[in-house]
Amino acid sequence: MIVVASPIRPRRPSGTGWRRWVVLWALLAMFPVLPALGQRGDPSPLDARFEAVRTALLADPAAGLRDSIALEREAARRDGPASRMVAASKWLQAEAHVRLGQEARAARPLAEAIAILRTLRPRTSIEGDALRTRGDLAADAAQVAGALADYQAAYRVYVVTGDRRGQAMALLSIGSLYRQGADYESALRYYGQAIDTYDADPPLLVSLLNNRGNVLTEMKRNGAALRDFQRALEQARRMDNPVFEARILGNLARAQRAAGQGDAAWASVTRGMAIARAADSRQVLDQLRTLAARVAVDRGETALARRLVDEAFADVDLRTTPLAARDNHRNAYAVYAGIGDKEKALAHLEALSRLDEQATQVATSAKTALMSARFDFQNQELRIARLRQDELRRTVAFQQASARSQRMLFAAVAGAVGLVAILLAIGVVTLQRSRNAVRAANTGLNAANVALTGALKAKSDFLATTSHEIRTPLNGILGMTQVMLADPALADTTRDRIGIVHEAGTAMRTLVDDILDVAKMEAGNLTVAPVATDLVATVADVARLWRRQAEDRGLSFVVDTAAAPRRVETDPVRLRQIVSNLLSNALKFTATGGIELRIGVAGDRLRIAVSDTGIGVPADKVEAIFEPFQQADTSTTRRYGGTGLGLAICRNLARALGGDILLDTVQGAGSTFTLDLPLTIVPFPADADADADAETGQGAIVVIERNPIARSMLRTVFAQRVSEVFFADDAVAALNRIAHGDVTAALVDAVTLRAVSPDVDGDLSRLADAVPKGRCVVLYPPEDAATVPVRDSVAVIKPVQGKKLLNMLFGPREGRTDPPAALVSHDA
Amino acid sequence: MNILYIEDDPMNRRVVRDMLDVAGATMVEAGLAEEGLRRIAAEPFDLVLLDLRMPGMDGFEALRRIRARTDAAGTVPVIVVTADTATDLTERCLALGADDVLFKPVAMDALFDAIGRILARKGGDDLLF
Repeated sequence: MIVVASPIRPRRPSGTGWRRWVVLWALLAMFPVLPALGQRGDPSPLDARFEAVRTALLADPAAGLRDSIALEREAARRDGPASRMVAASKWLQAEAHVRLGQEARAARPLAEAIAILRTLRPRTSIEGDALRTRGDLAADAAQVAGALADYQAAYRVYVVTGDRRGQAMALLSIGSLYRQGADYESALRYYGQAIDTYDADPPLLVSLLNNRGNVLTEMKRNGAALRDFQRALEQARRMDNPVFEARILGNLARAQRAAGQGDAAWASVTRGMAIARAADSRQVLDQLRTLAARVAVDRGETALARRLVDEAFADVDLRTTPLAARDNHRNAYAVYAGIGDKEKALAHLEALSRLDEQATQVATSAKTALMSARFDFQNQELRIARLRQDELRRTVAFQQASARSQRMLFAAVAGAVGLVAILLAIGVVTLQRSRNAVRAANTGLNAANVALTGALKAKSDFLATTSHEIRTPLNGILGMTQVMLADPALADTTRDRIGIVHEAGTAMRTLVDDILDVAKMEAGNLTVAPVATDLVATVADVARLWRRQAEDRGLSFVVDTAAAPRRVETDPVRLRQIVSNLLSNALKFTATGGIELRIGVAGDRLRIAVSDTGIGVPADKVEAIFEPFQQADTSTTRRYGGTGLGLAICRNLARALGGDILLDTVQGAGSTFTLDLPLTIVPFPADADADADAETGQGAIVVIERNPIARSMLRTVFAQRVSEVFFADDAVAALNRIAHGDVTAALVDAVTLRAVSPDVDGDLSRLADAVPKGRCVVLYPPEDAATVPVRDSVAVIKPVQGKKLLNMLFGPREGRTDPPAALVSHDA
Repeated sequence: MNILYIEDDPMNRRVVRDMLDVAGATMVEAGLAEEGLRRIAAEPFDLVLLDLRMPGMDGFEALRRIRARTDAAGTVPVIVVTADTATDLTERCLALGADDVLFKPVAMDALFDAIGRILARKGGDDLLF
């Protein structure tokens, strides 16, 4: 609701200034109503003066006041003290007082004017005007019942005088009272009736359409609201009034936004802002700014939205804004909350809460007053109707008697009804109060929730961002240590030192990963992706990493997977993470003895147990060690290092996988951490055809090749043909492996062998002898085209097609027992 | 073997260059996505390493544009190398057509393994040793 006080009259803190606007407009609208005053007679010179004063009053109320007092004196002299013109002058004085901000002084002349006009026949529209002015004063003073009575009285006068415009204005005023009481249905009815009664007066029509549009928007009837605003806009344009236009454009934009017409809303609000800026109307501009900011957020232009909403509230104290600013705060909150500026959003939410309370109070008192006014009004009607009935039916004597008894009965009924009304009013007020309390509590709760969620999110974001930021320099540290360690020419001491840097960097990376996992845990983002997993291979893989370290420390390391199901459904990455963590802990806290890793099944549960003969855990710390950042005691941190995150993450992961981590420990003797998971066995795919069987997983191949990328390529390419690809660093290792059996082929990179072997030809012969005939393939670089192959091996010049290489190593042989002759050269 | 690395941080570029040097692969570098796309259009690469967070065009958009190409360069193997740890990052990259995702700090073995694996798989009949 775009609400504004009249630019001329001072603003009232209760924010009912829009009524002032209506009055201003009412005064303007009075302009052409000449015959209101002088009825059947010819216009006297006093009538002309009245017109002049009324006009002057708009521009200069002080002068208007003086002139109207002078006019009254003149009229009293000419027509007597209880004349029409005297009353009219008094009314003008009251108007002048109001416009000078002296509402208190307006009451007496107004009362006198009304008193006079009431007695005059025939009735004139000016009586209606005066009643409406008094109604306005009452409404401003929050005396809604009185205001309603006056407006209704005014309406009745206008009906008698046939003044349709006056009727429309009275209906407008009544509608606005209902709107203030949040009774939108009634407000709508009255506005509609007003428009139906008289729509020939542009300013009045604009006001009616604008007000009705606002009520319709409040009732979420956006289509009808848009129609009203469009009509109002056309009228306002014809009247050439930029401030109205800007305000109506604002209301229109609001309704368009509610109706989902984002682009139209943007066009309207920006147009409105342009006009308001040109017309130098700061208040309208600020309201439009907040609305525009809201629309900008809808369109994703958050920077613009922020700028707009910052401008709108520049140098405004949020704690003292009036009720009229409610919508602005609502919009500002939505914008700041949307762009993540929690502090400002909260400030506006508080202001909104304060104003909502105020508005509810105003609405409640208005509603209560309206309800009691309605009862009063109905009582009066009832009384009048009954008195009339009695007069018709009885003689004077009987009438007096029965009237008296009727009146008594009536008073009782009225009293009872009045009591009911009061009780209802109390009920309404109490209900409203408790609803307000709940609403306030909810708002407070919501605000606290918002703040809390924001804080948690901020913490998670901080953890995630920090871990991200640390990874980049770690990339430099660990990247280069890896490169340096890969240099075989590195001096021993340097190698040791770089090894230390590398380990430290690795520890840091583990820490960063753990922190990130904790952040994900807290944000609920820890994900698991169950797939069919080769359980034994996965666990063996992890174990291999730790076996060496354990053996380096002189600890025994046993892996028992005999009872393990081969394929289960679980997340292999997370499983690896948990088992690795448990092994790391076991290793860390065990000085002598050994570590055992056992996989077993218990009913429908899968159990992976890591046992150690280490320091154990004190009984009272058994739960605490699973908390993040807890270890059994701080001395363990100093002696054994670590962050205390590992077990917390493990437990969370275990739970995410549908299980848990169990601990069985004896302090000083050792511990067994058991990962307990639901067991879901995945059968191997039913049938592979015979050919596939024959091709996959048979035997092993030994490869001498030092280039790591080439190794990876070969591993991938050979994966389908053999069950093992063994990379040997030199011929000795290769021959060793071949001696263990099951090797069906050998692939040798000549360059690699030359770099490590003192007797290349000898090695090649031995290798060729060790593998099946013709299955020792040697790759030579292109510049070796003239080399003679060593017997029994197949020589190939690089580059060679992968397919051909596979064929040579694994494909069907041609049945020859002699080694193939000469060099075989294959091109791309 | 010719590998293109699109990455805005010169330190990261140097690290990967030295790593690839260990494996005997040559590296061409591009400091911005736009430059990387130009190079891809100009010469054939065996593999592209791609950072995600770069000023101007980011890695996601660059990946989209690479895969949008209708010539041979559009099918070049792409490995995303990133410090980003968002939960669904791997899925997003794979969905956009990346062949693998590696997380910084880069483990050298993992890099070689991924390169070898992807080249072997994608090489098809043209795979050479």
